[in-house]
Amino acid sequence: MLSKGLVLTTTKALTLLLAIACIVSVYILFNKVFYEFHILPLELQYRKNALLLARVLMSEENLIYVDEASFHITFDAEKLNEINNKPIKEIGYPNSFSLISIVDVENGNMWNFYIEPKGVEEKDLKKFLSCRWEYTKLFVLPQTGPLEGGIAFVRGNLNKFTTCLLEKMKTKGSYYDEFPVSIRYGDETRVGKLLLTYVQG
Amino acid sequence: MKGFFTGAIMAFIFTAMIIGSIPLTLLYAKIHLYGRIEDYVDINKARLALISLISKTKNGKSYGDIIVEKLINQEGFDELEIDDLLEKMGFRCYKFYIEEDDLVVVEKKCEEKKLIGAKMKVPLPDLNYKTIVLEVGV
Repeated sequence: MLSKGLVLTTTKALTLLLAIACIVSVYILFNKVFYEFHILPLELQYRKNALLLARVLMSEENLIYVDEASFHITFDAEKLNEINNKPIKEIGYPNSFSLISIVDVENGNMWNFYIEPKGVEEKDLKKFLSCRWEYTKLFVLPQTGPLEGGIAFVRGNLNKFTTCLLEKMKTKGSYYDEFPVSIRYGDETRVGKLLLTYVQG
Repeated sequence: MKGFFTGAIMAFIFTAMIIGSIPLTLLYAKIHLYGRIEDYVDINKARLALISLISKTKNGKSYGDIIVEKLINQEGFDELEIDDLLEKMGFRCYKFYIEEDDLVVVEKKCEEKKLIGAKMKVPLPDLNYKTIVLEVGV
């Protein structure tokens, strides 16, 4: 009798433990998955914006080489010289901050510009300009060493700019990426990189 | 009473498993979707790298034209220094080859990276063509 009672108690205890484990698992899964699902659309949205922005830059008439026949996915060095260290006003997403660097990986030439922020509050605009000023100051430092070191330097600066912006204002997130591009100098075309940092306010 | 209690627990477990399978399905969908997006971003980078590479010029000729000439004349590609350019573009591993001939022009292997590729068909005389493929580890 004692033995039978013990067996029943053990079964009940195990069933109860299983039920508790199930409840805990369901709770954890719901929490984790719904949290991630909550985050995913936001993350994807600013990532999508950044990727589309890069794509639009690669077909922006004021930046790329255009001949009579067609548009090319090739940046024009002369047009880049004109826009260097200036804002692009025509394109961009509302309430976002973007810095772009184009580097010629063959000779180390570099162009930096930003998308003029639109639909942002004045205090946020001031913070952006202050971070950009810090970022621009960093470029005054002399660049030495091999080209990959130069690209790492730009990458580091863009990262510092993003950190500066994230520290100073409330943002939804940031995205950084690099894309292979080509740059045309007159009749010569070289390979390069487009480095883009995008912060969604 | 004992039967009712056991039945209730079993019903609860069954319901919990059904409810639990919903987030599991969503989790699978999320991972699948995220993986697909990652792949498309990388494929796009491989395409851009291939376009940049064949747009590059040397002595007034594009690399695309030089590659076609070399394929017609059955010459090597060493002078183009494609490996050097791919490394400068920041790819740690890559494979550049001609698909029809199974001819590997340059290759740098790395075990931990999945190579993502982009293809482009280049026209040759007599309605012939070759497919140049660039696979890169992003």
